[in-house]
Formats: sequence, C-alpha cells, structure tokens
Amino acid sequence: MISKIERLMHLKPKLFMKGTAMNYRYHRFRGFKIRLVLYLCTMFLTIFILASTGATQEQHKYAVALFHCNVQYVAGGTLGMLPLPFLLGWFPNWELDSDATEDMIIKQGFEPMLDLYLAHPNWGVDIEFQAYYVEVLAQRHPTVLNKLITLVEQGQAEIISFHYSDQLFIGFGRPAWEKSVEETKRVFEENDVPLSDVVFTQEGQAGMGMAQAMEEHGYAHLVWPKNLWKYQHGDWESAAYYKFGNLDMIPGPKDINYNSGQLQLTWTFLDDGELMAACHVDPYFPPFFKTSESCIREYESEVEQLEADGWKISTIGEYFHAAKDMGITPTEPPPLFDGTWQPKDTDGVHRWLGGKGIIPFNADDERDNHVRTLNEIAYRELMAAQTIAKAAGLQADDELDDLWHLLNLGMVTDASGINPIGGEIGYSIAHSGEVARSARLIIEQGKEALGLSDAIIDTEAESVIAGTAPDEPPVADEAPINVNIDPGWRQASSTWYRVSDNPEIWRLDITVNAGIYRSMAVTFPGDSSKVIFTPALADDMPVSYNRSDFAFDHWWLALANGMINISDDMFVIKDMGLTHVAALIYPDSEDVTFRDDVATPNSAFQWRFYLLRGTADDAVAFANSLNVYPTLYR
Amino acid sequence: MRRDAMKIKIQLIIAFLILILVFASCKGNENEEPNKHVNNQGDDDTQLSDDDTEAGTIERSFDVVFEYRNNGHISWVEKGDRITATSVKFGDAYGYGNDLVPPNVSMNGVGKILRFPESRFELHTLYFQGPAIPKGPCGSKQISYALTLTGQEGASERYGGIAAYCGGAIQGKPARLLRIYGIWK
Repeated sequence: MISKIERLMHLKPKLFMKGTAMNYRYHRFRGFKIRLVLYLCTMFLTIFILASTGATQEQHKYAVALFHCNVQYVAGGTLGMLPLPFLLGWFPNWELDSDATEDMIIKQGFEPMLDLYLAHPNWGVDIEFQAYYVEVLAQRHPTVLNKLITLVEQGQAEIISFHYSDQLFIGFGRPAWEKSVEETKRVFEENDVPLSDVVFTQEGQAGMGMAQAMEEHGYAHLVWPKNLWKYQHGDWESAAYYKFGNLDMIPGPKDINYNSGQLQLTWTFLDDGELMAACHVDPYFPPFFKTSESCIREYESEVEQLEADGWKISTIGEYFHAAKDMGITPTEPPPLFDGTWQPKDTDGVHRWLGGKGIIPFNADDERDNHVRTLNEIAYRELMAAQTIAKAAGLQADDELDDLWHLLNLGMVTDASGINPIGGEIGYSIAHSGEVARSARLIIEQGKEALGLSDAIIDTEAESVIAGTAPDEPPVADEAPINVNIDPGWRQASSTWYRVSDNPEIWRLDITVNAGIYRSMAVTFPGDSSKVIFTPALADDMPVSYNRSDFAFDHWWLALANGMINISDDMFVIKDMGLTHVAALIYPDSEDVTFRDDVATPNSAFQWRFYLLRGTADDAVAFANSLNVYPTLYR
Repeated sequence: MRRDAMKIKIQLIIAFLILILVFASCKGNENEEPNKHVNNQGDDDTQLSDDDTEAGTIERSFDVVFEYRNNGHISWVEKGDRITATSVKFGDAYGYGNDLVPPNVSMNGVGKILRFPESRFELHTLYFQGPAIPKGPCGSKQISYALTLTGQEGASERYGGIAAYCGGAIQGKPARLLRIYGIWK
C-alpha cells in the first residue's frame, strides 16, 4: 500500500515498477526511505537556515558608537579669542575662562549625550576622554558623573581613557605617557569609574608601538582610525578584526561585513563626542555651541531605525567578544606608521609639529617648535629631578606627581594643532615653564642634600655623580653629508661638530637670523628603500618598513625619540630640546625633511640634529640618551 | 552629511567673522581698549627695553600681555643669573586674571635666570606675593606667584606664565596658571 504521503511524494512511480512483486515492494520501500530521508534533510536544513538567519539578525549585527570627548577642547578657555575686543560688545559670552569653557562643554555637549543613552537602557555606547575629564566632573558636575557611572553600572557604556590629558603622546618618550596613564588609573579608581580595556585616543593618535604598552597596562582592544589606515594603503574590505601585537584591533569607523553577513559591524558615531548634541558646532564658538534637541532626535532616530532593522546597539567590547566567540581568528594587518586620525585633512602629525593651522588669521600666533621643545625641556628637567630626588632621598614624591600632572596638561595637543588660538599656545607654555622651574628647584635641593655643587644626572642609569658638562665637541674638518637648509627669505648658518668616533657621531647646529618669514626646512639626503624608526611608546624597539609597501604620496612622522634613518647605516636624530618638528618621508624618495611652517618670527632661532653612522641599535641608544633618558649637567 | 552640514555652518560663521573684521578695519578701532593682543608683536608699546647700566648688569622694563586681553608691566635688574629690583604690575582690562592677580597693585620680589645649556634655552623666573582676593579661588589666603618667561637664548619673544598658589608656598598644584607674553629687543 502506498501511503497518502508517499503518493504525494511519488512523482514517477513507474520508474521503480520492474521485476518481481517482491522487488517491486522492495524498490517501492527503498524509494520511500530515500525520499523520506531527503525530505527530512531538506526540512531540517530549511529549519536550520531559517533559525541561523534569525540568530544572525538578532545577535551578529552590531552597531557601535564612539564618542571622543574632550574637556580641553579649548585648553585654557576662549579668552582673547575674538580678533578685536570691541566684538565682545556684540558677543559678550564668547570669551570664557578655562572653567567656564569646560562647564559649557559638559552641559551643552556631554550631559545631553548621556541623557540620550540613559533613555535607552538597551543601547550600548563607548565614551572616550582624558582622565582629567573625570576630575572636572567630580569637582564641578557630580550629577553628570553619576549619570556616567550609572551607564557603566547598567552595562551600557564602556569608558575609554588612555591618557590623563589630551596630550601628544606619540611625540614624546614613553616615560611621559607612563606618568599619564598612572594618573589616569588613579583618577578612575578614586572616582569609582570603571576603565574599559578598549583604547581610542586624542586626535586618533595610533601606532604599532602602542600594543606592548597597552598589554602591560591591561588594555586589550584598539580602535585604529580608519583614515590613518586608508591613507597608508588605500581603501579595503576590513576583516572581522586584526592582530595588534598580542592584542586586537578594528579600524573605526569602518563597516565590517564578515563572511557574507555572518558578522557585521556598523558605526553610528565616531567623532568629537560633544558635537552630536550641539549639532556639530564646536566649543570655539560659545554663542552657538548649544544643545540642539532636534539634532539629538535626529541621531536617536537613526539609531532606532538600525535597532528596528535588527542591529544590536552595542559597545565595541561586545563586538570583539562576539567575534571571538564565533571562533573568528584575527587577520594580520599591513605595516602601519604612527599618525593621527585624519592624515588627509590635517596633513598628518605635521599639523601638531610645525604645520600651520587651518584658519589663516590664527596662524600668526602659532609657535609649534617653542611649544613642543619646551615640553621636551620640561620633561628632561623633570626626569632629572625625579632621579636626583631618589638618589638624595628627598621626600618629593607628591611634588613630583604634581609636576607630572602639570606636564601632562602642558603636552595638550591643541597647543600646536589644527587651529590653536593664542590662549591654547600660552596654556602649554605656562604649564611647561612652571614644570621646568619647579623641577630645577628639586634638582637644587637634591644637589644640596648630596653636597654637590655640580652634578651629572643620568636619568637612564638613575645615578647622580659629581662633575661638570664635557667640553663642546670640536668643529668637524668637513661636513659628513651635504644637507639642504632652506630658511626661505631668512639667512641661515650651520656648523658641523665631531662628537664621537665610535660610533661616528656628528652634530649639526643651524642658526636662522631674525625675520618675518616663517618657513624653515632641512633636508637630509637618503639612499635607503627602508624607513627605520621607533614607533611611539616603543622607544627601544626599532622597526624597518619598506617604502614600496605603502600607498601614500608623503608621510609625516613625529619620531618620539627623534630618530630616523637616511641610509641603512646612517641615522638622523633631532635634538628635541631645540628642534621638535615632524619628519617628512616619501615612497619614491629616500630623503628626509624636517619642516616648520610656523617658525619663530622676529627672533633668531637655532635647530640641532645629530648624524650617527652605525646600527639601528646604536642610533636608538643615542637617541634615547638624548631625548628619552637624558643625562643633564646641573 | 552631518559633517558637511557642520562644515558649511562653520564656514558661514568664519565668513561672518571675516565680514566683521573687514567692517571693523574700515571703521577703525575707536572702541578698542589700550591693551595689547598677542598679535601686536611689532607694536612699540610691547617692546621690552634693556639698558646696560654697568658691566654685566641689564635693566629691563617692558609691557606684557596678560591673559590675552589684560596688560601688565614688568621691570627688573639682572646680573649674571640673579634678578633683583623686580616690579610687577597688572591692569584690570576685562577682569581677565584679576581673580588671582590684583589689578593696579605693584608687587616686588626677586628672581633668577635658569639656564638649560644643552637646549640653549633660558627661563627668567620671578617670585612675589600679593594680597588676598576674597572673590577669587584663594579666598582669604594671600597669594604667592612664580612668574616664568621662556625663550631660546637671545630670543626677543618671551612667552610664559604666572603660577598663582594659594598661601605662602610656591609648590604643589597652583590655583591656576595665567598666561603672559612680551617681546624685547
């Protein structure tokens, strides 16, 4: 008997009707079994596909937002910003002091963003800022701080912080950042704010050297700025995530579609955090920097729509965990140079180390080299103060911490960045000057305690001995290489000194006379297809990249310890106490150029470089002894 | 799209400001206070003057811009690394910084030139004290100041700061760091 079901399935029964009745029954039975198995398989497969598709839509589509907030958006406030004082009659609330500017940023831009997420308890979000932000909230806006903590406690928010101040950490030796991250952790702990293991930074600073530093401090995941990647290698389809040393990273805000939708990531926001609520007006314009309910609603609607479409509004950490839980392994990234998040719009880190700002009428104020060399001078003096305080047994820990705190603030990026106003430049200089002054006092106290009139303070060996500075090195018989010095309309003179025979080291001093022309450049001729330098936060780990592996037409490097090669065995080291501008490299030229487009006007100024013939390790050792772990004679 | 809208808004604001500037420059600056903005580097009033009165002794007397809108005047005598006979006085334009630095009060102290030979850099430092400013962050406490002016050796531009500390000690975290700027020949 052929069942009703079999009849329905029995498309061509005559094909099986041959041979004996037994055969007939056997074949009919066997045909039924095959069809039944096929039917059940199809049914289960269909159910599985439907189920897994449903699960993907519900669980593997992640929409994330990273609000990069900055209470030092206008470091020191907007005092003196209006070009002419009488304009204050028209805009009496334009010029605000530091506290008032910070308060405005928090009330108009930050708190409304928190309120939005509090109104959506099932939404996740990442909020990044300097630890100083937490201190300002605790001191003057405790209710806002409570809202922030509530978001974390509800499992909604990850709070990202990698530096105490929004500082240019890729431009200085690792010890400066170590002090910054120490203070960051202390501030978060003291205020009961959980610190996320995700990292994003001020101006999207990133470099491959961060990986080990992050790991040593308990960070696990980096958001590498999409444009910092794209500018080096062109556009690309992103993997689910990438290796970053022993850690992981994703490019942001880069949409990810892994394995035809098995895992998807999209970004609802990655920008200056306070701008969402203020409709993308920034705090340099206080009369116009106001909370906009319509812009908040617009953003809210976009996110609601994604949620309705099956996207999980999550944190970045959730995405990383999902990718790992799915068994996806990270992809090896291409070689990546240090930089900032918008290398095309800002022309890279040069904007912070010698480049002009974007708005022309502010450019007169800019003093990048003064700002950053003074940062370095203060840093060196503080390192020496720390060394001698320890050697002399001074009870100066609190005072030293206070000075590191001031130096972190003084290294703020906005003092030389996209469009610094005079007040921001002064903010950095005032802080760094005070650090240098106070550190010198500690050094004098240390010398007195040790009974020394002249001290040699070796910050690397952490030793202090009696002695004076060595004599100036002799003038070199001849220049080791021909350097192109271009001071524009000003006059420059240069002298080569012979510093050492083993390894061979020369010093190049350049003096530019007073004048109004503000561009100055020095080009060192190169002949290597490789670029050798040490990435930020990895001062003792030189890397070598092939120029041909990159797609950019030029690239600026901050050089945290000052070192870069011009040939396979010749290295240039900038003395960051006199010259701290970015180095320019090309894919199709081996030359290295250091350029300042906002060079000090009116006064004469001096630059200094060293040239070392030897190995990369020789160059690293010398560069670090100059710029990271200096020996000072006091 | 949002970024584009933001850019357009900012461009409009910048254009508006430029229009204001053009208008202001046509009309003249009759309402401008006699203060020196940081841009006025070439203005004679902000030039520092120094006088060699005796061998190795330099007298300096110069105007400074204080908190970018206010003004001030500083004088001292320096010999070697020592700075003596200092006199520091700031104005009250717009009240900028006057919650920590009293306006129109002459304050005196001593100072020292700190040298950083490896960087060919120098720091002129002055120390002085001022009266309590009840409405300011230090309240009833007297205020101690550490003034610094920074520059490469021989530079005429001098950027710096005044660290204002509540009480008699000049250490720890200052109440605030105020900004000054001057230029000397």
